[in-house]
Amino acid sequence: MMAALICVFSVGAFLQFVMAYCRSIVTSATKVTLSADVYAVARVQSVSANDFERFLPFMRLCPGHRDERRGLSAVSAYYNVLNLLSKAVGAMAPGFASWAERERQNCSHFAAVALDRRISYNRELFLRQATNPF
Amino acid sequence: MGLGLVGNAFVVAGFLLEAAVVVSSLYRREFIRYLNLNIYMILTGVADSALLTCVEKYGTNSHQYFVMYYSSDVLLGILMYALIIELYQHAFARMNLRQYIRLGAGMLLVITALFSYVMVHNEHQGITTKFAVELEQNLNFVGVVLTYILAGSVLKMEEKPARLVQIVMALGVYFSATAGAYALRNLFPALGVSFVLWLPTCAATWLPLACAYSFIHETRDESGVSARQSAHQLAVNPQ
Repeated sequence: MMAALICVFSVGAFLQFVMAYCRSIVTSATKVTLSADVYAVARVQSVSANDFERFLPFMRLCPGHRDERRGLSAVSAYYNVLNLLSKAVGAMAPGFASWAERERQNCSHFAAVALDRRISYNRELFLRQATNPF
Repeated sequence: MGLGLVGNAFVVAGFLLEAAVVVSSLYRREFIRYLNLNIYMILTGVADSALLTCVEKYGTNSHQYFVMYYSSDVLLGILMYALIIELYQHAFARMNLRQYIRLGAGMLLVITALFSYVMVHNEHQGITTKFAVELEQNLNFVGVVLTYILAGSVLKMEEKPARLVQIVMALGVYFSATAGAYALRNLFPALGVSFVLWLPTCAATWLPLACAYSFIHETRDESGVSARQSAHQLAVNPQ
């Protein structure tokens, strides 16, 4: 009985903690301002909820720092879960749908920030190489 | 019998990640601020090394390995309480509740110790696998409850320190996965050979991974910082 209660509570808490962890990573990027480069590269005027997948191919083309990738995989998984949930229960719960939309937009902003960093990082490295090749 | 390729890979990965947490917190000058977390990482690394030596000498089916595994796990579990207290102190730093937090935590530790003593006293056959699994399940469940309350308090704060939030959530994932896995093993002992056996190992690798990520990455995301500035920081200093 005790083990069953602990099991149920732990599974519920686990799901909540995973979601909260992904949210904390996504939220950390919302305060970061984007440069004009990222809008120009992705050909967007502003970052919307559906832009997450638009930024990913550009990021594959642009090598980044190794610790950028870890956060991106967690956010990518979070984005896919949000997509799945908003498709499954979005029509029945409009409040949840609008919350999921906001979260998906934050995920897209996170991806845009990561792309922006990669562009700037590569440009900076290229300039350093050009000015000091040895 | 050894741990196998996957088991050894987990131990090595865990060891490297624990070292990464300590080095990155030193680099960020946060070693003292998160002292208990760093002590936990160092001692987990020491326990991992001792376990590997024990496996080499006696094998995984030996009594020595069994005692070593569960005693180090329980001791690290107690140290984990100290880590949670530290995080509570960070969360309530402005409210001057340090004394009450220490008192509450001390009482909780005494209650847990007494509860464990009663369980040991009632167990006539000594430390069996069932007893160890039950004890682990209870210790980790207390961890889940404490972290759950802490997470609720941290999320209610007006200014949410990003690193503290990430560490608390990572700790919550660790505790809930471990407690859930032990509870499943307790409920269905036949699952002992399947994925449930690997869940605590995965969770133990997850915790240093998430902590290392928060130390390496998070400080560059303070408000008002542009992506360009942070990329410049990375290019100048790629560590």
